[in-house]
Amino acid sequence: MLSKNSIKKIIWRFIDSPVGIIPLVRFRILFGCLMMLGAIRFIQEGWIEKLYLEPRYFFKFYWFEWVRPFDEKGMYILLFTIIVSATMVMLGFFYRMAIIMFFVSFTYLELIDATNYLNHHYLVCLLSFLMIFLPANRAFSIDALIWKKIKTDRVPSWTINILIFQLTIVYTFAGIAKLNYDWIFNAMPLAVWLPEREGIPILGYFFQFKWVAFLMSWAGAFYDLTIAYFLMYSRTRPIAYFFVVVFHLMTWLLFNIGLFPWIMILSTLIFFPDKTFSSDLKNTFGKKMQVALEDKKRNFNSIKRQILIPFLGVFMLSQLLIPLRHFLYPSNIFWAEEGYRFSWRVMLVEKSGQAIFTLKDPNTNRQTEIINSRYLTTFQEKQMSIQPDFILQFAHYLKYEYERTHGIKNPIITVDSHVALNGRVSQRFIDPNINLAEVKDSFFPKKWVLDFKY
Amino acid sequence: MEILKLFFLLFISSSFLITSCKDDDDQDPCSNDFDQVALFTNVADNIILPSYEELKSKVDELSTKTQNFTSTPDESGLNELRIAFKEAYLVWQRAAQFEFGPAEDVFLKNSINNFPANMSQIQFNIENETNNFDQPDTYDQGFPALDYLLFGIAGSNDVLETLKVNAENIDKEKHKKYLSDIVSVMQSKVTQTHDTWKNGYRDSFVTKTGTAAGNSLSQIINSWNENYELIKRNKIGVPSGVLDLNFPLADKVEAVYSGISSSLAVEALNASLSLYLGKGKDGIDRVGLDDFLNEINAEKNEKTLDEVIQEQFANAINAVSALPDPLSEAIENDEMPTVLAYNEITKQVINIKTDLPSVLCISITYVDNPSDSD
Repeated sequence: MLSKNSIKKIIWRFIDSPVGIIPLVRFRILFGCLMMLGAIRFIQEGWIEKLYLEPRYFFKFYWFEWVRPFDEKGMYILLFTIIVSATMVMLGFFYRMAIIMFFVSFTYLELIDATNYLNHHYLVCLLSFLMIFLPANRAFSIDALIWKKIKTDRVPSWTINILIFQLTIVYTFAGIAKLNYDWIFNAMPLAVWLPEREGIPILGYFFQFKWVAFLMSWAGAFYDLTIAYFLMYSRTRPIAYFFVVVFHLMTWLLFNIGLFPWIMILSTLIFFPDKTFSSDLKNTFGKKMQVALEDKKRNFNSIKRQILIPFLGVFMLSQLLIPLRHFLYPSNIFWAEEGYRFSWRVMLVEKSGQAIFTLKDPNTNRQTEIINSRYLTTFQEKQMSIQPDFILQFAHYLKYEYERTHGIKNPIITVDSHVALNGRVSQRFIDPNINLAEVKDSFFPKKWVLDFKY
Repeated sequence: MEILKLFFLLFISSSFLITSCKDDDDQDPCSNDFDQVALFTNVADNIILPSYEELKSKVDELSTKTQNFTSTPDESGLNELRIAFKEAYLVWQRAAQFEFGPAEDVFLKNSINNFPANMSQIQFNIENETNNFDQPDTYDQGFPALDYLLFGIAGSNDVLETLKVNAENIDKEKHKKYLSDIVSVMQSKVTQTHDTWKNGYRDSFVTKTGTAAGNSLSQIINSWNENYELIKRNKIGVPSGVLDLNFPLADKVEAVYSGISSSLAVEALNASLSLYLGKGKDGIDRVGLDDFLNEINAEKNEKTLDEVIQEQFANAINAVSALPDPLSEAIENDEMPTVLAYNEITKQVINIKTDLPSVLCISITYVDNPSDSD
């Protein structure tokens, strides 16, 4: 049993004790800068056109069906909002407003088409949401130049620990997700992906060997499971950070994963504490306590704190639970993908499939096979054919389209779909006898997704 | 230290979370032991190059017959030209499945066989003496346009009338000009593809081993699949009406005027099978994708994947062979046999587009990922 006193000590240590502001400020500047560059790259790659203007249909996130894409001008304005707000975050200029603007615009962009869901974009949403509540503009910022009163060299430790906690969650769950049969005992999907990178100088030569795929699978799982803890411990921290850089540079070299390596390399700097500040105070507990009490009176409105800390506590608890929700579903998570998103399952499957829809008019008995490419881009079609909720959404869209263009009421929509997972032959994916037009999506197990057999 | 203990505990407990799935017996996915160079050499020397050589000679023949006919247009000249057209069109079916490298560079498939032809565009081109052959995606050239010019204008008997040389009738001169232009574009593109393959491309093709996109294995499998899907959709699917609420569109068949659609489709499927088996024009079965599948013991539904694929090829070829020519008339009478043939062709797609690349660990690259992944 923890005594009341030790609970108090823990609260003090992880929440209220004053620590140097530098890690937080450094995080703000690097995050803002990276997000600005990322959004510029997004425009330069032509992804506004490819991902948001070319498609005529967009897959939705559950609960966010109301999110709509804008027209060309609107999409550019959205991206410019992201660029401008990220820059303001970097400079610490009207920080609170800027980070709210960034969070809202970035999240909106991500919600438009679920086809483009990426775990690291979700991470950006979460980090920017947390940053709304962090005093990251209280040093090295334009705000601190304008409003001298907010300038400070120390912040309560929760403002940094919450980011550490978030990153630890990401790594740990990514590591746990790798502890599955295919990853550990078949080196899948790395055994597929590595040989594709044979062209890389020197390193590429080794990718033809299967043991390399095994080595990298095991090393990757070990890295994800442990790295956050090695970063927490001051003696292992420098070498751990070295491995952070090496690991993420490897993934950057090997895979087409955009900003992800840079986000992790830069955000993990948050694990490095502000040494100058702690040496000033000579680590004396009493002095720190005194400073904190002064801070509490001066800067931190205690009512605000009393609401904020529990709120963020609940938020972080949800972050612990959301990645575990797949235990509530009977299905194989890599197959049916129930509880797959928002769970830090990163680069875990090589999946391909096809979905052939048939729409039948019950009044005339006429039926038609659907040419998916008439409605979806090739990328959307690829994603749709392996994700049950997309298959269902697309069926509902077909119902709507055929009612609109052909006047067909209550069509019967079935799908002949097969999916191949991690180097296996395909298996039937969706029950071919189910009329998808009448199936409603929900959080309940999707009984119309057939079981994964082997 | 406490944190390390905590982490260790976490590590141990998380290993309980390993989802246990059964090992799939003796299958060895992503084995890279097979001899890719042998496959590429066979495909290049016994399938691709002979196909292009034959296509080139048939298109040269077509060009000669066109010249003969346009200088002295008579019945026998027209008949010879029509025969040359049919022979070249048949040979094209074998050469159509290699749309990468040299063929892709000149948009060979789109220039030679985009169908159905756009008749009004062709008429417009003839009258205004224009064309847009250099555009990659038009429907006014290649075999479909020839099909129209040689067999289709206002019924077959009038074709000769339309094309007969007649100095005082400028329209006929324009027709002949368009005919010659089409053939010469075809000839130059086929020649260019053939020559590039022969002079250098073949040698680099056979050495590009590996599973990366752009290497020979992925090129063969991707273009083979793309071509198969075109057979499925354009030659059989669209005309049968399965894609349009069972309203048949008989006039959208390939070679609608010359009426050889079914023969062409059978030839295309046979070519597809030959490429899979590694079977050359000489009929000898050498190293093919089938040998790769057998080497890694790929299985599906308690059969070998190779057996499944070969069986389905047989079913599809049988079903299409049963369709009479002209296919457009057959569809107008009763579209059901064509629909059934379409279903047989369709059943194969999962085997060759999903299963085969999956067990050989090749990603299908003509579905491009436009953004990052994670």
